[in-house]
Amino acid sequence: MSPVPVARPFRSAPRLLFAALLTFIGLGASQAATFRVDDSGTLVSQPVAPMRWKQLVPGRGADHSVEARLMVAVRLHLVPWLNQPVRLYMGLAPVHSDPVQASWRTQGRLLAGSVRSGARTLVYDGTVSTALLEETMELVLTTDGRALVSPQTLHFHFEIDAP
Amino acid sequence: MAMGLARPVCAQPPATRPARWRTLACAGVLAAPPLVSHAYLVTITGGTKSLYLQVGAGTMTGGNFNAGGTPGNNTTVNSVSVTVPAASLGAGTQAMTTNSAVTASPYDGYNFCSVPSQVYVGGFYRTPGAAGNATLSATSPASLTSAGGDTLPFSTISWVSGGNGDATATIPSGSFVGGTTQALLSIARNRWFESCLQFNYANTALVAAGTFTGRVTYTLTAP
Repeated sequence: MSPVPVARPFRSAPRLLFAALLTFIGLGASQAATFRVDDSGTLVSQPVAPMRWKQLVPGRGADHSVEARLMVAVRLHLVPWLNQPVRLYMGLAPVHSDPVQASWRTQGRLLAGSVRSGARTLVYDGTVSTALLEETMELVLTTDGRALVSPQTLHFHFEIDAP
Repeated sequence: MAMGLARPVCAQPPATRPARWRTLACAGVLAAPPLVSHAYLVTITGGTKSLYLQVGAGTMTGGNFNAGGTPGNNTTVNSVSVTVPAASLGAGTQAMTTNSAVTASPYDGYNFCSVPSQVYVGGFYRTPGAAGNATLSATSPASLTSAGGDTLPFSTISWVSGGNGDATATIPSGSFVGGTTQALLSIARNRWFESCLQFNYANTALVAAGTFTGRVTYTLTAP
């Protein structure tokens, strides 16, 4: 088999693509994959949440954090994973300013917890038993108020690690 | 492609397909536009700016500020005064006393000032971002005046700044310039400041008998 000529990119491209695809298939078959979950229908009580200083007055033991509380009516469409064991996470995309911390309480269908921007936290570990998982979260958002100068949009998402 | 290999983020796979087909389906969807929502959004906005200044009496509800108390408006105008005996006219500094009863810091209740000798002055400037400093200033008239029309230069009134536990006073000691607004302190954002001011009358001249009054207005200005 002759070496692939460097000057023939169009002819060599299909081979490279095929090799890459084979590698991709191999990895996919041996490792757990992560899938974004369709959360359409999820509603937040306040699409725009004004942050309030936790301590109105700064002082000797200054606390400069701001926080906001809101409710989130979560709707997760889980048909593809019905009757399968999964690990479900809630993630918060990275933000441009200081890190944002989100903590939440639930009604019990999902786990309570917290997450920092740029990370994810496990909210369910078990077999999916319902096609549509509905949950109400009380979300508390916290960040350093000194750094939050302009509005910041936080992107939350759910993702599943399936075997 | 490298990102997809490390951690593919895909549409939902059919539950019954083998892993190989699931991966192929995933690879196909990577190039297609998303059809369903995969995120919910919350937009957060910054904390509000706030400014608080207390000179003498103040109002707080719900306990001290550090325990969740909320500052409010207080229209009280406190006074400082001194009565100079005839035998002491022009004989040098006379300490003034105040009708302010504030001894505790409204921040945490700390026993900070002594009455009736000191007037509490404190406050804060709260803001997000890298804004400049706030300024505490005092505006005084040129003179104190009596009912008979006699005057005393406001510059004869000075103050010594202090406070229990403060090795160095926050508001510097000084005296009124009179007839103008003078800056007393530059205040960094998101800091509480406070001092106790002991006022004195210079008493260096013989003046006509009478009650001399004048009002000083303290102002906290933020950019």
